[in-house]
Amino acid sequence: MQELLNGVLSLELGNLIMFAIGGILIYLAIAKEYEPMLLLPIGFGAILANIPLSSAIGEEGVLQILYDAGIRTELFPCLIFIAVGAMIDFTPLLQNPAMLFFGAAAQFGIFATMMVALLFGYDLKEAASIGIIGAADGPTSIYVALQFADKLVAPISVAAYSYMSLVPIIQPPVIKLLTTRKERLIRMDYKQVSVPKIVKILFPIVVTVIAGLIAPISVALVGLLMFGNLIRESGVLERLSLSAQNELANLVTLLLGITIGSTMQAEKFLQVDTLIIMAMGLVAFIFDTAGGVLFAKFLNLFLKKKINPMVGAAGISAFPMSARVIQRIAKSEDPTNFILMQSISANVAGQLGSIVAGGLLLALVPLFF
Amino acid sequence: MNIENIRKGLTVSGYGLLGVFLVLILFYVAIRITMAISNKITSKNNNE
Repeated sequence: MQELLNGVLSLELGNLIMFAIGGILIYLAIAKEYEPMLLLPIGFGAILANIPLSSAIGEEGVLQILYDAGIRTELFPCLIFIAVGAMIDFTPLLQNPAMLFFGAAAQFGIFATMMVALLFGYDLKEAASIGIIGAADGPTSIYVALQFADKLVAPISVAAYSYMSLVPIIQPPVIKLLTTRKERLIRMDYKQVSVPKIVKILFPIVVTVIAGLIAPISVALVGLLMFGNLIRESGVLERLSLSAQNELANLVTLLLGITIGSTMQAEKFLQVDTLIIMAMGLVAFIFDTAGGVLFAKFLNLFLKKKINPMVGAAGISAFPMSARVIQRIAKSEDPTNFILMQSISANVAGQLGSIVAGGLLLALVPLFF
Repeated sequence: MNIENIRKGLTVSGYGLLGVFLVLILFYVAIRITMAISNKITSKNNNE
């Protein structure tokens, strides 16, 4: 009889709080549809991990086995990159490559947040892992955090995915604060350019070689993303492309989410660090948005044909949410202003920029640590 | 707060942000070149 009560008797306040946090994540996923593919498995994983004496965790627990095989080895994030690569259509960027610069400027949040984390007393590796939340790219955040501060992977993942889903709430006030109405009304010409198939095929190969030569440590990130994209664009691997976009993406996302959730054990998660990381994740997204907008305003000082500075904010990696947010704001100011295509180009550039920034952090931080 | 860490952080941030711009500029150049070559080949084929 005593054995049947072991679970109940071992229950602590921390476990109950984690049940509530898991419940909130599941609620946000189902009721609000905030990144449900990730937040739901993470939320349920948190519940599984906090049931006292849970057989799912611990040395022989299934979630521990999945963690050791898929997260500690970085296999899951790498497989996700193949899937994401197969899903990304780089055509808007190839049509308007100048938007690449916004994909770079909007990574400002990563480095600014890293500095804030250093001010809070974190070491360089931990600060870089926290800063990478600003990549607005879950797999990149997980990948970098695993390399530098694996004990922070859980709060970093939760922060990254939560704020990605909150882009429609975070970005508009920052944009409005940094732009005048006149700037938000700027119209931008859009010229439809046809992109030859050979360019779409060469692009992933060239990007991999350039990024790999500059930061060889980024090859696992950039290379697998571009491998997925090459499968998509080759035109002869339709089945593989669809498998990567669907079966592979779904399966790995499912396992990644629940495994990350299983690391949210009360004694590890309920710490001041988690609150600081959640707060800094928000700071990262704000700095990203500000970086993109201010860079566009800076360019406007020299350009004859002005850029709508809101497009700069779409340089973050949260695709296509950020581009939609920008178009929505533009439309609310002037229902006939259409800057969606430019925003999508900047948004795709952000996907590339975030991975490059992650790769550069992986290369640079060990040189100074 | 560790001043040495902050100095290192500033260096990493500086190189990092500069590096992102540099790499994306290289991507930009690569896109322009491949587009130009491809358009040239297409127009040549069309003329023939």
